[in-house]
Amino acid sequence: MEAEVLSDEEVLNGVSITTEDKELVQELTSKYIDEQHLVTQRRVNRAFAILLGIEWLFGILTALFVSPQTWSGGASSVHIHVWSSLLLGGAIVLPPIVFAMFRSDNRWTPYVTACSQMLFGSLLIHLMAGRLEAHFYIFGSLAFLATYRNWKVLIPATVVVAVDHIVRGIYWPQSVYGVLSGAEWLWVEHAAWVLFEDVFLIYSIVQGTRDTESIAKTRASLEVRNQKIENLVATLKSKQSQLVQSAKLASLGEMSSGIAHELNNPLHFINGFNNRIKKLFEKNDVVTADMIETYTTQISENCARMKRIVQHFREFSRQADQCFQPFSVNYVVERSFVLFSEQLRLKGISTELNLADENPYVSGDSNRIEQVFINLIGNARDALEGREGSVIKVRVASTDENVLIQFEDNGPGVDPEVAEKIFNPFFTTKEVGKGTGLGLSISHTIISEHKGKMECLPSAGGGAIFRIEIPIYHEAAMDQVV
Amino acid sequence: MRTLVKNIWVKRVLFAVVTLVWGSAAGMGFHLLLDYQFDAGEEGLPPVTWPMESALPRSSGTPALIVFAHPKCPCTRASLVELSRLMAHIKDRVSLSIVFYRPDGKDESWVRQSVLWGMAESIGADRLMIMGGAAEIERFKPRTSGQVYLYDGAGELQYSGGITSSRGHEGDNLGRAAIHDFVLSGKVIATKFHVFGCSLTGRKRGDATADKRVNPIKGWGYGS
Repeated sequence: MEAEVLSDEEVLNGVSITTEDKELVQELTSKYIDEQHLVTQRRVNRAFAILLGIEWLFGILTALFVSPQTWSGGASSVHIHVWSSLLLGGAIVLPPIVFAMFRSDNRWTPYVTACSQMLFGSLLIHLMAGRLEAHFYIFGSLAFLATYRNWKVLIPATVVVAVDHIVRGIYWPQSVYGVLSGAEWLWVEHAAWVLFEDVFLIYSIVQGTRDTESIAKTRASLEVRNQKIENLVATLKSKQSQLVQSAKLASLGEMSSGIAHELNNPLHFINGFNNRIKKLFEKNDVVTADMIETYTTQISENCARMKRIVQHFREFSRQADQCFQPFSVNYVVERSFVLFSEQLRLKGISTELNLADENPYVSGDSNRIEQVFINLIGNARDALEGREGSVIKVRVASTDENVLIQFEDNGPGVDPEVAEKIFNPFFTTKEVGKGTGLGLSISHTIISEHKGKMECLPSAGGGAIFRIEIPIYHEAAMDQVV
Repeated sequence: MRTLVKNIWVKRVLFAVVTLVWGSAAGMGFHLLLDYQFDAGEEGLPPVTWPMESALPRSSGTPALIVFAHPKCPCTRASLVELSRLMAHIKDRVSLSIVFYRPDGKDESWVRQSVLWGMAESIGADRLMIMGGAAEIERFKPRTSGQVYLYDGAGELQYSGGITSSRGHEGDNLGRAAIHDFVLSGKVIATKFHVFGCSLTGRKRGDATADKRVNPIKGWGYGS
């Protein structure tokens, strides 16, 4: 026979389960079983406390209805049944009620309840004039006690019934058996019937306990696996976040030359105006206030432009946790061109922004969405480089459900075979060293995280269209603009 | 640590004492209840032959069964249930009279509005009567509600006692069996049995003549 070899590590449904995990499952299983027993005990204690209270009331009402008074000629007095239902009944039901209220978690509470329930049964049968039908109370009580799902609780209940029958069978047989003689050993038969029910109840309890244990074990296993999966997901999210940031930085690296152009142009203006002012002073030319104001204004405007570019560059490059909040799509599209306007102008690429009049909002991380837009603009710029009449058209529109953002260029387009793989990680058609192959893949992931979709389509003009759809945010307010 | 141990022992002792007190109280309660249940009433003193001066009619040759009941006695409810069961077997062979006792100062409506009167009506007795006067009571001398007398066809007393074996509890009993067997087969298995019910005389339980506690197993009156 082939020996079963247990490895320290098993892989179930793709999640590895180690020996430590198994021990944890065992520990959690025991914990859940104990918790379940405690919950059941509390619930049944409460139910019995209520039931015994009702039984007590019922006993008093029965005594008041059946035998309220005893008579002697024309004189009457309160019947002993009324007093016994009130006082003896109270003494019997009080302990389990007190235990249920103040010691519900105590392991003895179910046993106290069991004894009281059966003792009260004896009293109730007596108060109901020993009617045979009243004896079904015993069997009903045992069944109810079985809801504790603890077979040991049936033992004191059975013992109380047996002792009650033995004692009364010996001294007052008529009170329990309804026959006069030969009842000394009838308690054996009666106890046997009680045991007969006990057997079925115990079998049912054991089966129920096994089911509970099975459920607890399954729950514990699932919990351990879920925890491991959650850990894996957290790790994956962390890695993905790092990847997104890496791609962004790579994108920024690729954009660095373009950024230099963006900064160079205003710098050129500033330098030019500065030289003019300098020459005016060197030649002792007439310098009017209007001239000074014009030059300094130009210098200020270009400084402000450079400041905007640098500030935007810093904002874009910062690493931050994903933060979802409503933002204007028009605004983010316009902002995406801040880092490109000069380089596109230098490369002879014109832009057409056809923004949505209704200024639609989406809920998401505007920084990441801008990362997608910048990636698409950068790709379009690369594809259009050196082509005559090149243009990038951006259109923003909205429906009741979605905001549509479309980036279209009139470049060489994307082959259908390439389009199929264009969103795959590390897939690129750029020359070695010019692209990481992660830009579009991560862009696709970002859009998916926004519950949107992104696709690559051929343009009628021969170029490429990147079409993005993101669920619209209807309750946007202006003060929520990012 | 010692305080903890001490506390545990104090708790245990306290718990044991409380349990003992509670158990004793409950046990005493049950004992009193059962003691009361088997506390028989005063025996009736019936005439051994049918009193001819009685207002109750008797058909010669037909056994006469007379049941005396207090209209408000809760224990007699079980007696009437047993009587109903008995009559299901011997209805055509006896003449049944149920006599309700009316205490002084109570009118007949007090009797007729009682639950027991309604039960007695449903049994279908040949005579359902209310006796308040001392004459009939003194003639038959019933002392306890639930008292049953059986006279044979010749007017001789054959049975005197109750038809329940404890207070207010239905079930097999010697009295019912004795009447049943005598009426149907003439067999005598008992001539007397205890009566469990309220006093018809106004004497309190514990009076010298009424104080008889019994054990039905060893009860007197067997096979006389």
